[in-house]
Amino acid sequence: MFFEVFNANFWAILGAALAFFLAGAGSAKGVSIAGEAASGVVAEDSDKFVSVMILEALPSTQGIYGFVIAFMIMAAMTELGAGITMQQGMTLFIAGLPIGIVGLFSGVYQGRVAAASIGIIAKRSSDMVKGIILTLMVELFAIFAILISILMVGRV
Amino acid sequence: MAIVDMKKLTLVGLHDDRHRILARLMEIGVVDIVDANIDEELSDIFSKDINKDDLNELEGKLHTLETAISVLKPYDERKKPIFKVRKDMNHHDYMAIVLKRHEVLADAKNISEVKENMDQTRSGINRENGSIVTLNSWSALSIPMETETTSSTNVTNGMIPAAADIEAMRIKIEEEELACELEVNGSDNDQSYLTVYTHTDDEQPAMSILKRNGFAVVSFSGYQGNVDENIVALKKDIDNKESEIKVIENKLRDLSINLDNIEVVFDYYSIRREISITEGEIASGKRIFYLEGWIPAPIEESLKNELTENWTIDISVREPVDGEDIPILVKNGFIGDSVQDITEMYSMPSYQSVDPNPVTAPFFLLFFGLMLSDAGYGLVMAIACGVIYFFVKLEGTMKRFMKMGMLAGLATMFWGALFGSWFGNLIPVLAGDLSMDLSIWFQPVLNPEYMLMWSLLFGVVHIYVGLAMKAANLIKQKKYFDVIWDVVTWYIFFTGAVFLVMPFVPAVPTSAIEAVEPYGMYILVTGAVLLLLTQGRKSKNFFGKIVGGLAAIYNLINFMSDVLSYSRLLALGLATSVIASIVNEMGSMGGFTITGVIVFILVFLAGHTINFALNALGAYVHSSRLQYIEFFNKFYEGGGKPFRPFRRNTKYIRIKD
Repeated sequence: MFFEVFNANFWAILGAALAFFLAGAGSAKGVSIAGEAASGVVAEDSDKFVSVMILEALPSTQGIYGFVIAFMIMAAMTELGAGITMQQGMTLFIAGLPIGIVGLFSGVYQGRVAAASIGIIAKRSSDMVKGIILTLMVELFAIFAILISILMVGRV
Repeated sequence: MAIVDMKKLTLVGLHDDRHRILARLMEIGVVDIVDANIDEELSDIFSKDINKDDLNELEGKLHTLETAISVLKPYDERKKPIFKVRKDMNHHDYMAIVLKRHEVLADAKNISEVKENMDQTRSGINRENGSIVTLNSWSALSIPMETETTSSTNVTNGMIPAAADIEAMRIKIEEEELACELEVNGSDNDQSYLTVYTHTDDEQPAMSILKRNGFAVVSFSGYQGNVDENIVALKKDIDNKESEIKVIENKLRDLSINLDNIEVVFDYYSIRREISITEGEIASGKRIFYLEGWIPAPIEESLKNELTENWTIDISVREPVDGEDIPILVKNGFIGDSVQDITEMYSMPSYQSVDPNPVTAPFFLLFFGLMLSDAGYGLVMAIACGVIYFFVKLEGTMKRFMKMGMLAGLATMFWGALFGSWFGNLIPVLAGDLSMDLSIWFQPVLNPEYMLMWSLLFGVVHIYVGLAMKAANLIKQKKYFDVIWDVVTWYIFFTGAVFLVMPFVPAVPTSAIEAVEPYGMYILVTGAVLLLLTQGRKSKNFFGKIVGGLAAIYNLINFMSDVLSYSRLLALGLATSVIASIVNEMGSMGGFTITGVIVFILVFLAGHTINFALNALGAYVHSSRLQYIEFFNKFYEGGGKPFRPFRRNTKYIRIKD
């Protein structure tokens, strides 16, 4: 009974959902943290809009990665069709977790670094690149996460 | 294609010619004048001719002009170009306007005053609107507003918080037998508006009851007659003021034809300020002056000829000596030039190093292309930036940026074509055959592990080139042995490591692993021993030497994480193409009907625009990051001071001779 409801397709789709849901939530939070700081800077000096907008956009990548993985899991499901086994379903579920969980945390934390870097722009807009680099340091882990997720989906 | 050699110029001239020589140097614009350092023994002959009053006056004029420009800008109704460039102007026209500069300055002052006048009128309107809001609350007031007292009665208007219980106050007043009447003239959510009539003798106790309940007196001084009349009068006054503002705005619109002249005069005064500042930096005596500055070596002869022909001066030019702070001018070819600003955002290269731009450029562009990796996006980008680059008038940074966009677009097309991605899978979706393969090389979406291997390999190549750049720096500094100790040893060490970890990287062909893996350990150990022996060599004591060597071995971890960092080439590239495919598939859900086609076009435009914008930004910042952190880290010696020649730093016009 249990495995009739929670069958292979269920697990795979849950993996896709979690991949996007968690990573997307992380990005939403991260972008909002950076966005609040950005609005403050623009309120003072609207010429800095473009530079702070770039920094604000940086934490949005986790959501994109989650989106990509969710899509890849669903594409894999379409490919496997009705013949999907329990093991494959579970594997797809687990494959969604790295980008989901790492995306959630790295999105929020990257947003915090982005907000702090927007503070750099508020003081010296010439140092924008330094702020971007500091913010990208967090991104590396989200990139590793999507990479692992991609490779895991590829294994099914 | 490199950092331009600099020479130090010393010029001694007659004091009478000083101004004209400086003006001429400014026109030529090739000398980076150094703030003179006057020797003590010369200090009774030379001094710096700093004229503070003159400078302050110039600053004041510039401020007036700047204010006038910012006031007029919004009223200038002529079409403005998207990319702002300085206007070309020939010397004759320029001088004609400069001759009228006093008039223009007077106009600018007038404009500031007009604007101030308008601001005052505006704040008057705001004030009156506020008054109307207040008066509206009192519209039920039945007596003339100026009424305050009669012979034995006091009349007081005021507000009391809406929460206060007026009935209770009335009862209290009755209990104390006070001659006092409360009249409620209306109320809103926050306040009730009261008029209080008291007998003069009872005013004190009645007021204290009211004030205990939060009563605040409102004064109507300045108003006469009843409330409605006053509101009408205020409204009329606001109308008058608004039409006044309209008149002023029309006047400003008429005055905005002066904008061009004001801008020219602004530039004229900023040139004069520049000269005045420079005059304060050079050493002046009674009869002669001397200045020192840096010039690019190639123009030495022509500059000498130019100056000695026209004036009685003594010029000497010498090679820089060690320890001098030599300014940096980089000169690059078509491609190297495009990433110059990206490098400069990191830091100016130092004079003792080689110019990284020619090497950075191809890597930057190729990595950008790999991360965007869609031929359709690349095509659009290359055409858009190319059209702007070739057909729109641009200057400096903006022009280079457009060139970079064009080249990056071409690189994106290159990779997109290799991977068969044209607006994602647009062509297969339109053709109704999703398994169609347009790739020249392979499709990363279907084989991400293979792409991962290539990404890491590109990383290794990039880092190796970085080490080669370090060798080039050392050679330029004539430290030939250091090339062996600091570059070759690392090559050996890293190569050993690469061979050893190859079996752990997915998709590496087994034949390649079998060919090199057995040697990996030997090469790694050789490299490690060499590093242990050499990396501590600059340390004086034995302990330091050992620690230096061991710390170098630890660098292996940095190398590994640097290489792994290039996996972003795969991740970002896949993100672009997967999202592009999703857009296409979502758009095509409507099928081949009229609505279906319209939906498809809308989804296509919106979806691909967003995907392009996000991923182009991602590709730009991540490609920069790979240069800054992974590449420059290996060799870059920054901290150079940019070459800033003494020239006309104008904002609005470019004077042609």
